Amino acid sequence: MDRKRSGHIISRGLEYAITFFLILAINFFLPRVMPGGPLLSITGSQGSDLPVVIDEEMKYKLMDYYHLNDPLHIQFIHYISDAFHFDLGHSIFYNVPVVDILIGRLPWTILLMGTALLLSTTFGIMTGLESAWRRGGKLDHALLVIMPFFRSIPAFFLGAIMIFVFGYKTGWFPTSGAITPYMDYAGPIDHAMDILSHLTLPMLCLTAFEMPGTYLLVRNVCVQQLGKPYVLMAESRGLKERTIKKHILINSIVPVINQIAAMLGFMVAGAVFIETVFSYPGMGMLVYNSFIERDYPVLQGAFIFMSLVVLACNYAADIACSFIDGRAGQE
Amino acid sequence: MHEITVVQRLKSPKGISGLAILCSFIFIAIAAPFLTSYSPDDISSRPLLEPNSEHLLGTDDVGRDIFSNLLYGARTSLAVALIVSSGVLIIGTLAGVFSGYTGGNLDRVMMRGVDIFLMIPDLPLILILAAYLRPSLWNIIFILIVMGWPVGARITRAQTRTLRVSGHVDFARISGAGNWYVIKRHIVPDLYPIMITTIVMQSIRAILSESGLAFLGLGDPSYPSWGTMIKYAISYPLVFFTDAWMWWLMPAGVCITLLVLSFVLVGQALEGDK
Repeated sequence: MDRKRSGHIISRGLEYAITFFLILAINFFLPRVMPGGPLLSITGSQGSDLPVVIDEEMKYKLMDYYHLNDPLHIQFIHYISDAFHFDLGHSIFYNVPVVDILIGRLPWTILLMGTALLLSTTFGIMTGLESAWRRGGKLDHALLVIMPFFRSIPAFFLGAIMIFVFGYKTGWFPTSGAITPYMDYAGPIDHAMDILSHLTLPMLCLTAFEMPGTYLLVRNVCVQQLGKPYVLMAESRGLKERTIKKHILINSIVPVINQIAAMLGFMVAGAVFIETVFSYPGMGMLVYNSFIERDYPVLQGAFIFMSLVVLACNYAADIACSFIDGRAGQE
Repeated sequence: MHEITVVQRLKSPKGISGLAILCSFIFIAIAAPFLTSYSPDDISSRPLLEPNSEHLLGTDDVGRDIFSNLLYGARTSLAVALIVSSGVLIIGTLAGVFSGYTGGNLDRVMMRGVDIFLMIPDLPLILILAAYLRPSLWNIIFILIVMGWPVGARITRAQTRTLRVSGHVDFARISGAGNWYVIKRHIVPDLYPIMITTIVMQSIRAILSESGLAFLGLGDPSYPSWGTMIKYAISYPLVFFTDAWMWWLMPAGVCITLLVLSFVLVGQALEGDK
């Protein structure tokens, strides 16, 4: 059985590796099939009234420097090897390596998405299980109306309302940024409180964005489990409600983990909107800003990086599930 | 037979309220020119007017009538929802039926591809595509269809797999029916409920994505959009300090929420929740 499991893990790993390679390929070919050229802005195009600032010799030197004279497949090999050396190019707007920018933004996004994921998963599982247990009851009906309602509100609109209610009207929480400038001189406790108060609104917003999906998923899986004979058996043996719920939860945890990992890409989209609304300096706002500035290297670097993280999380979920459920991958 | 069950399911309270909201939005979208005398692009009056009898919801920071923007925004949202969901439906159904009916290695490869495609964070990719393409409504529709069809393909494929091995299909094949005939007569008609679900789900996705992209500044400036309205309302510095948020920010957001909610309710009714 162990060999089967490791075989399963390796084959899934290969699939993810191929996917990542495809993402790199998309990133490589997309700019090259689009109109325009990399040196257009400094050499000037026909019909453009921008002054031409470099001569032919300089142009060839530049093209040589960036390997633009090489055939496409050589360029692609260069690209892949650079990517594996964490060289994602140079930002046009910030004029620093893309990787440095990404690493600077990473902690904030991990903080925001991590806490929101933790909260939404915890509460999603709790409400989903409770709702499934009392299916047809009042609580179930209420949740089945409230949760889709939250799913219908666009994340950026919810963020705007939160800014208005908790920021402007009551003044409880700061509405933008992740930290007050110079707060790191104020001592560790104040510093932590400051970060936490800045985190609260975006985190709640992202939780509200993510939770309905988790809730509906858990509810569906648990309702299926509730129909199974072992639940009837447990009930007829007079087991406590708590114990039966624990059984149901353990039996439905595998699809839940898999699906939550698969929804991470969706959550990234939520993070882009919410970080933009709250000006939270994470990856999502970086994506938005580099889109506005047309900072292609950063935009593509961030996409590669986010895809890598999402794929890695999915792989981790696969591995975790193969340990939880011994049957996974044995067909 | 399926039509009857669909109609019966829609007769639940959720289905009826969902359809009612949806129909009123469709009415607004069609009757927009008769409900307001201003064109959404017209700079019809002084900027930042409060609501009055001429401008029901006042005017925005360049003097356009907010109410007419709201009405015409329904057109954009519904049109995007309609085109994207039918595009996804056609491509997704074709791919799903093909993959599910053929089976074998091709099916396995296609479905793994779809699974993986669904994992990739789509919004950054959409932004990359949009950064290279020009901001036009057709580009947004194109991107949303390209990113959406795998979802349709997957559920269609799952149902096709089940139908492929069911009794009546076997019977038809033994009786000498060709592949094309079986697909046309025995598989596609049984896919109608799934097709409706796909349309509902994709409409939700299309409306939220379109307004979201418009909010991020990817919208088509020549079509009024609720997302764009929210974008301008939020970026106007005084919107929260005066009462302007009530008639500038809220209506557009409430409209998106209601329209999406109507589809969600219809979807829930179709799934059979009471």
